Amino acid sequence: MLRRMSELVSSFSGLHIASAGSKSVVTPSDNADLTKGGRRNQALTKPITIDSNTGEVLVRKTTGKTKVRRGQSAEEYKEQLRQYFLEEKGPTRTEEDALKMEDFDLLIEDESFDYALKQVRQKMVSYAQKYYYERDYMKCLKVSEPLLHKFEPFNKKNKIRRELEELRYMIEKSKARLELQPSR
Amino acid sequence: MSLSVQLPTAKKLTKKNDPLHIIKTRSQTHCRPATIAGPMVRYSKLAFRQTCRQYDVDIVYTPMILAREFVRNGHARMADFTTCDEDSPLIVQVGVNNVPDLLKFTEMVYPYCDGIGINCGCPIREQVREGIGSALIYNGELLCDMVKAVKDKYRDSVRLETKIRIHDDVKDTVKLCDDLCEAGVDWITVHGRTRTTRSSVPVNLDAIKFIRENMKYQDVPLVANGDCFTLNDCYRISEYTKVDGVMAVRGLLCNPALFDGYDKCPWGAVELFVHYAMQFGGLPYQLLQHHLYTMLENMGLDKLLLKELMEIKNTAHLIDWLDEMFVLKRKGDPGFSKVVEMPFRDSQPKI
Repeated sequence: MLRRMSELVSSFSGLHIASAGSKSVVTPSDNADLTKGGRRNQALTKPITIDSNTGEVLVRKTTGKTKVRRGQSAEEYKEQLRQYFLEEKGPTRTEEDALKMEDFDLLIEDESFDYALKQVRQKMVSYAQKYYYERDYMKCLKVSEPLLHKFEPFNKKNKIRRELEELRYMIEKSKARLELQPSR
Repeated sequence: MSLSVQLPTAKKLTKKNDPLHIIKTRSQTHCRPATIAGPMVRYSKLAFRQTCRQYDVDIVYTPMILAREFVRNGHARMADFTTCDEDSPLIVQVGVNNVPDLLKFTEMVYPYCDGIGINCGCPIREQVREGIGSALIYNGELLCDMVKAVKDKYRDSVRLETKIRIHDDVKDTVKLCDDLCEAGVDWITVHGRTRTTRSSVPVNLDAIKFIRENMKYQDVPLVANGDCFTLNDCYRISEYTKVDGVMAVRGLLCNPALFDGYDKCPWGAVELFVHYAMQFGGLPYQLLQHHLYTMLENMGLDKLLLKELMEIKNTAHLIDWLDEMFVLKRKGDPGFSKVVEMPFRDSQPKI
């Protein structure tokens, strides 16, 4: 059921919002951040379905303003399904012992990897952290050094300073420990 | 909805992984209620879930995943849901405010879990404003529509739970539970606090008991949630309320071994958690640090040392700190994960 936007906005603006557990209502003009007796406004709103096929809903934000949460067309969803089931092969699966050196070697060569994404960096650093934890300092070093090289160009406005510091820390400690115990 | 790719088949529900079967039968097979590790915003990630599973937890939840984001965004999927073969029985908890998003979410998630739980208890204002979480207990019609839509489509191949809070008038909660049962919900978890009750206020077990006694559908299992911090609490809650299962959340965060009878977090749980976190990777540092803080605090670690822990800025440094302070065994070391008391080191390592 598709309703006209103007119709919906007007119906929403006149909506009475029931407060939790009581039959009383507050008017939409009440600011969401007002406090009553030192307590934040606990008013409830119900999302209004605009399009029951796409999941488009009208909600009220914490600021009190209304916001349309855009729906998802059948085509858009189909594309997500394709990505999810075919490309991503479902959710990320990480079995025990799954972080292997040979996989890292392949991944580090993958030019399509976007190191600007935190999740990508986090995934790659996991190899170094795992070897560090396992006290396999040779492998930790082998992983940390190329990662530092890959990460450095993305340190815009010092935003990934901590990540770089960790890599440098692992490199420094691994080198020191390898000097003491070369077998590791 | 037609699709050019083959959708994976549903995970087969057996006596071993069917959460409904487990909840219904634990009292006969194990002489105790089903033990459940509830969803925690941010914290119920894979490494923590697997740690809990080593300590007599029957069913484990993921943190709430927002359906709207999950079905639209690959990055959100990567961040929100990671699993492994041993991650079962698993309930994926969803935050949702409309039927289409829930149906899509279910289609994408159910092949990889053993059940889906709708979050109707989250009190966070931002979510409530979106009509998600505890807002849903005041929007029973929508909630029941969502439950019905999933159960009509998937029947018994998908287990569907709702985790609710109580209303100011508990009779409203009984009515909601009856409506949910009519819509086909498999079981209901009741957190014995209202939307605005603070967690420092004791859980209202009388309300849960009242719901259990007055629900029309006595065959639909009920799980109690709130203030379960020890195994004794678990027994006390189930005996008093006559529920089929007990869910612990905050209690497990600081002591993942509570259902195994440990009143304080055993050191082995710390070793297991660090092991899993390193094996699976991808756990944000702040989460790793917070988990360790809550566990070590529960074990009674000195406040100055806890402060020291919180000043550490990265995982590698944290591992070194643990090794300097304690004997942290790795998998394969004799006695790994079996130590109970904190094994302080007598001397400091050289590096």
